[in-house]
Amino acid sequence: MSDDVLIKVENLKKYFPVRRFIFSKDYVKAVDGVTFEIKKGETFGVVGESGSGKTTLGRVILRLIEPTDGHVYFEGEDIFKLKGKKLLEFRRKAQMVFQDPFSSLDPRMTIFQIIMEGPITHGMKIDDPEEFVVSLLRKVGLERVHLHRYPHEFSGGQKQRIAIARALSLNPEFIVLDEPTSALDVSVQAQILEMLRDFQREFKFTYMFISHDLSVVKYMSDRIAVVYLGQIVEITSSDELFERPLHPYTRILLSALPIPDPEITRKKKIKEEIVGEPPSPINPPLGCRFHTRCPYAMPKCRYKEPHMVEYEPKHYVACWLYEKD
Amino acid sequence: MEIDVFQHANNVVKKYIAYLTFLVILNIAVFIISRSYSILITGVYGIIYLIEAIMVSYIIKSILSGRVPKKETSKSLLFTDILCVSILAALIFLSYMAMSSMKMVSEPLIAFSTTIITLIVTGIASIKLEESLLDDLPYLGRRLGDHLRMLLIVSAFAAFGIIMNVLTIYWFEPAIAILIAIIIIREELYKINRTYKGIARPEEREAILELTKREVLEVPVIKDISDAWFSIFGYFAYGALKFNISPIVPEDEYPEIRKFILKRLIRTNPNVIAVDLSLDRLETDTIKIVVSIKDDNTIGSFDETSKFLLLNVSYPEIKITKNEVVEIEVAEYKIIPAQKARELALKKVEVLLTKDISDLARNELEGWFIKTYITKSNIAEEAVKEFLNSIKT
Amino acid sequence: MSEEVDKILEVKNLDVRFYTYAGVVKAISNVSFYVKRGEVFCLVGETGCGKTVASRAMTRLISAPGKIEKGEVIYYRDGEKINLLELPEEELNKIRGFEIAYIFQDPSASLDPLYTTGYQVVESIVAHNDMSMKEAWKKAIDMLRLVLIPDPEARVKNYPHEMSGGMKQRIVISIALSNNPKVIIADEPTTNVDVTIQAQLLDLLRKLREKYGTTVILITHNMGVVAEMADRVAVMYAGKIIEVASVFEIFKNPAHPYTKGLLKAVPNPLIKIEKLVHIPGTVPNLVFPPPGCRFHTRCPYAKDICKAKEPPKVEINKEHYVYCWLYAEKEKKKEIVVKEAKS
Repeated sequence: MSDDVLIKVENLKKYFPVRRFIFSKDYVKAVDGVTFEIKKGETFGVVGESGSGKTTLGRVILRLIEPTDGHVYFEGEDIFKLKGKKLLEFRRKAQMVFQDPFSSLDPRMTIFQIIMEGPITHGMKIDDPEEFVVSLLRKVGLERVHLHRYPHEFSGGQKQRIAIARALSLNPEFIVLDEPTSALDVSVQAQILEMLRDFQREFKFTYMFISHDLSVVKYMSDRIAVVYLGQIVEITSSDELFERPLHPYTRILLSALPIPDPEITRKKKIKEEIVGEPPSPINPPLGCRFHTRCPYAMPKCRYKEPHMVEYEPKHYVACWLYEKD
Repeated sequence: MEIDVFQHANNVVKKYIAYLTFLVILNIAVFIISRSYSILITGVYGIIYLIEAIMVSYIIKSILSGRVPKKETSKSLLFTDILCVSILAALIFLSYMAMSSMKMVSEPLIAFSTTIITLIVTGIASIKLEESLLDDLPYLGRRLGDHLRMLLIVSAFAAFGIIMNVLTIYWFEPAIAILIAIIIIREELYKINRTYKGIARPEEREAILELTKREVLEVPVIKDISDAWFSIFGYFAYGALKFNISPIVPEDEYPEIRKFILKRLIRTNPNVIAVDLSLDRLETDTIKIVVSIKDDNTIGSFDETSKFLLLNVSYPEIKITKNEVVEIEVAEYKIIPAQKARELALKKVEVLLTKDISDLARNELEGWFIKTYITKSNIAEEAVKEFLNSIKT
Repeated sequence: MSEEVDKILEVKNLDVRFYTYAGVVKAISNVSFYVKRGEVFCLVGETGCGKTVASRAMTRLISAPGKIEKGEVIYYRDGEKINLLELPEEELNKIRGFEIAYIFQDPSASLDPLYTTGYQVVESIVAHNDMSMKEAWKKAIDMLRLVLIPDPEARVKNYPHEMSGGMKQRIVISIALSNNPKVIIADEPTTNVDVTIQAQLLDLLRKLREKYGTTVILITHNMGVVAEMADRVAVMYAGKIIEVASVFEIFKNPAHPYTKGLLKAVPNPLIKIEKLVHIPGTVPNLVFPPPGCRFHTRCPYAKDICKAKEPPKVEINKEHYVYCWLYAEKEKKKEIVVKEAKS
């Protein structure tokens, strides 16, 4: 693994059993064979619709859920084999900011307690805990007065700031941001996103930014992975994804994306017709999972799964249009 | 490849038969020793499944060797199911009589162990069997697994009945036997209904054919179906399909086409357990060839031209019977080469002759089993002649 | 001299308050706007701006502790002018759900989980039409087909929980459409669905508008959806309308500082953005709204007059209105120039 790669994910799978009958299960294949790398200091965007498995992916990468198969290497080490002190160290270095600010903060703890929980668990030696937390709160735009208040006294945007302060408290290297601004208003979203970018510049964080909003992902990310039904269909730089989308699903996403500019959005360059609904992740289609909605589907797509190929330099796509058998 | 799939399925069914045989013998033998009616009925349940499994294996073997198992197979299944229901009714009567006899089961330890053994064996077997068929014929695997799981449940009831019997609640054990018999009868009635409908009404069989036809015949080189039939057999279906393939397709590509047809057939009709699939090369046919042209007689690059020369060529005479020029316009927001290729595929084109073509378009054509030939000559007429000569041989 | 505008709905000086334990929330104050027949009119704003309250107040869908204090909602029907706020409840019920139909954000809340979706469409048809059940069922299937639900004959027998969010929303739309409404008020109809389903639903609304000439009042906070769908846009802030213009004007020449700030905060993926600019501060408390212009506490251009008096409505361009002292001054100056020229 080369030096600048922080995280390497190899054929990661997470299946959730759905009980059918005794000793018989169906599986929701939430993540089904995902491979990619995240470089140090970059923001790796993951975009997909509901049911794509992107949230599950975020959690498995931090080992908040155990995988069904596959590997995740953090700084060269397989995180699923870590134990004891080494595991604790990994958990300190890899943090998460969740989507719902309303449920990710314990309503029975004060802000002070919430933010100190991490450092205490990891046995960090802090001389003056109050000053420590206050400096973190100031960093995210809150004040000393907020120290001993409870989460319900804050707005959505403020709660999300607290969640970010909590992530910062452990001095991490890698942060998974799972739809951090989806529940927030446009203006508050802008504040939070800029704050995240400032922190990344200052502390050299590596981010994995998960969202269904392609505009936001594009703004935040250096590279983007497009996920459909548990599999990655395209990975490339965010500019390239918009300029030369290869995978038919990406093209459809771009076609569906409403651009905040009436001159452009009404004369869209890509206007693929969007057909059908995402199929169930319990019994995904045979062959390429996207074939039931793909405008270019061929008989081959209906029975053979394409592989991820590097069709252009640093531009990966899994589609029979771009792969020879 | 299909030999493997159904061969493998047959092997699994044979293992299943082995498990069932063991369990049936065990249960019937222990009934003779212990006079436990619930164990007897478990055994009868096993026999019912055993008969079905033997028939399934027979069907798969016949299909694999090209013989056609007659409709009579379904009729015999119907007959055995009805027979079994009658036997069960009789056993219910006997169990009812046994309820009032107030006797303890003899050799309760052996009886109880039998139920536990049945429980364990069916549990393990169901997991293993279902797993081994998961990739190929998941529906079959699931059905057989469910059968074993029903035996498991029934044995659990039987175990409970025996415990109660030992605790001197004598009537409980035959009562459980009656309960089990009712469960089986219910399932049997459902199966009888399905088999009867499958024999009497052709809708389901026709539905299988329609679905398969619609999808498979989209591929230009698959010309049509001849000799297609399906039979419904209880939970399952089996049949034969013969496809006529364009003479332009070399035989070494047949396995791939076969794989496509089979995978889609099983996917859209999961209850199919055996199919005799044959691909027949047509001796006489019209082959559709398309040439990308820049103008009247010059070959153009596929990606850049929107004009195409469509030729119908008779086989084996190799004479051009029809000749027309078509324009394929593609909306500019599409992936143009891929969309163009797709439009041609929808026109049932089998071969493309062109000067050059991008990977994208070529991949799309290949996905439709359409061949692309890069011509040496720039003149359309020459290139076509050259190509036609090459297929004469 | 202005041309006759073909209005279908006009809101005049609408005032809605909520009497809560925390105090009297002045949800919307002195709100006025009009909607033209056959257009797509977007009400835009962030959380708490009052857009939902305004849309519901239009047909008196405000219940305790809310109260419509004052104002008029004029519905122009066949040459008649009807004030919806003064109609007797019986009359209003004939219009609401029939001529003016609603689509809400969460389709699960609009559909009864105990009845099949087909039944619910039929219910709506039969309530307003003299039809036999058989005919109504047939029409229901046609309605489902109209909203592009695949296999409608089977779907009519499904219960809401058996359908996906996008499907449910389509059912809601078909119920709304079943009686050929003149106006559809859609409150964040696509906020809960995926972007591809959103595109399908918006496309559907557009096509239906083209086919039937229905007026659509679309409430959203998504500027992309506004750009995609709207003919005219009204921006709301803290319970007040602050700017109204055509969609092209709003995006090209936003006048109000809030509108400008809002647009700068939206990430446009097609242009290179250095930084998203946010509006400092927070939305004011509507129990004690700030005096004068409600935006003055966050406005980079706030002057003394903004803190004291509420800004007037100023027409800065053809059908482009803004409520802001920055432009009122110009208006006043223009008047002086004209007067001087005359004298």
